[in-house]
Amino acid sequence: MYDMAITTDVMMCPRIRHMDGKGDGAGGNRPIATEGAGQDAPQDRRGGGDIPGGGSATSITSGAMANIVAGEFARSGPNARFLFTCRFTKTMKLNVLLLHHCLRVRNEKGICVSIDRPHSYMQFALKKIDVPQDGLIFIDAISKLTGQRSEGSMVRFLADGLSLPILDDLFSRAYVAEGAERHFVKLEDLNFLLVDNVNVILQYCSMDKTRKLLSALLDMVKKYTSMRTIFVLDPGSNREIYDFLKPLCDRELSVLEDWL
Amino acid sequence: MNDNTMERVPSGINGMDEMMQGGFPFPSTILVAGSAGTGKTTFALQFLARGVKDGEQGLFFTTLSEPTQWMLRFVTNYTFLDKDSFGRQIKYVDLGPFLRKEKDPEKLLAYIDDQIADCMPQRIVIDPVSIIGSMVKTDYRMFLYDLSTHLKNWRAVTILTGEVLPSEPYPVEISYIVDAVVLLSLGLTSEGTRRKYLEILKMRGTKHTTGQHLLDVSPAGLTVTAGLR
Repeated sequence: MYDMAITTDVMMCPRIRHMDGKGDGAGGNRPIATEGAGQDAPQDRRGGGDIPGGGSATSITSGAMANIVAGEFARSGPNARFLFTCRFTKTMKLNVLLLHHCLRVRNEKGICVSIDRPHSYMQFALKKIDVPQDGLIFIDAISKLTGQRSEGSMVRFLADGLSLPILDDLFSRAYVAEGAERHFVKLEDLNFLLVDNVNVILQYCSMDKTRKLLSALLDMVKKYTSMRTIFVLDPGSNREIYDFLKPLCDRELSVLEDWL
Repeated sequence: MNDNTMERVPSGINGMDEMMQGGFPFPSTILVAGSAGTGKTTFALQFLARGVKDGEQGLFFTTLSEPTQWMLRFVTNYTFLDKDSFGRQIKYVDLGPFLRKEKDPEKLLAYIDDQIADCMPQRIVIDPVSIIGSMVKTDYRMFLYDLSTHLKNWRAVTILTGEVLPSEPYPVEISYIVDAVVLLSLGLTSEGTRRKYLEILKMRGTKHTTGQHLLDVSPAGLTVTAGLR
């Protein structure tokens, strides 16, 4: 069902750019228009117009965006790196949609790295739309700093934010939850990693440190797991991070505002 | 001031964004304080209407228990507001019945969280927030702190309107918690006419224009003319 819907929707959507290459900087952008030759795809739908799969942003779990995500993830291989771009105001909605798709639609397991707010907000938002969270591990890099820690068995709280030693510790030892009882996870069972919220990372560290952190994260995901990595970013307000991540990712998808 | 890491959203108030480096910091909580008739609710609606124009979801909490149709009736002459957006791009929630029954601030916060999670807005209004103080029996300052934290963690810009008497500048307890304080006031001219003024008293992380500036009201909504006093 999803495959048929995706074919039509993807061919009519003008703002998806597929990057050929292996995620290591090779390859360039190939506009979707070449795949849908003969299709009359408008260049900018910001002012309105027909959008396949439903024109209004009603439910975030249905509609054009959900179909596009379904198609992209279905076609992607393990360790695929996705860069979704949207306005910073829509980041949270898109993250929730992506996690809904991974956890509920695809029934996958994965990690959500929470770097600018306690993980409990994402938990709450997912619970609101009945997304099962048994397969979701949180890495909460902010709660200890703000004193807003909440209990949870599948949460790893980081005391000093996201840092290189911590990343190495997380992935090489593969355990979540601290204290007397540690919960170990099999990294090979995990399918995705999503970072919530890359847009604000420069508020906590320099660009130099950001490059090192993101590079290390991607390397470790590739070395220890078969996870798909997902970043959501606003290039307009985070040009430096966008320019850094773009050549490292396999797929870049520009999300129009009225799709969310 | 280095602003290359702070995201901003337009206020929707004509002439105001130029006074604050392009818009409100995102996310943030903004206290808009003023006495009766200074334009607080109009400010809040204009802010939400701008969000609708930008494809954003708005959420309007009222604590006055004013039914939607009455509020819309009095703002219907403004051209900035698309009445069809109410109930869709702008969700309206009346906190009045909840506040009458429930005095527990934690339950109120949970209810607000629930409403926010339901529609995931980028713009929120609580109009007026000052009434909650008289209804919340326990630590008001603690409640405001938690409220502000929650609102920002939901990644929205929130306008909290605060009612004051003409002799009071702003609700002090709220002013310490929020990221920005905007004062709306009425002044009497030498000719005996009333003029409205807007002043940005505080805005964290922003180089903003200071002092009172003339605020005009027209069918297009509020317009501030920075530099005109």
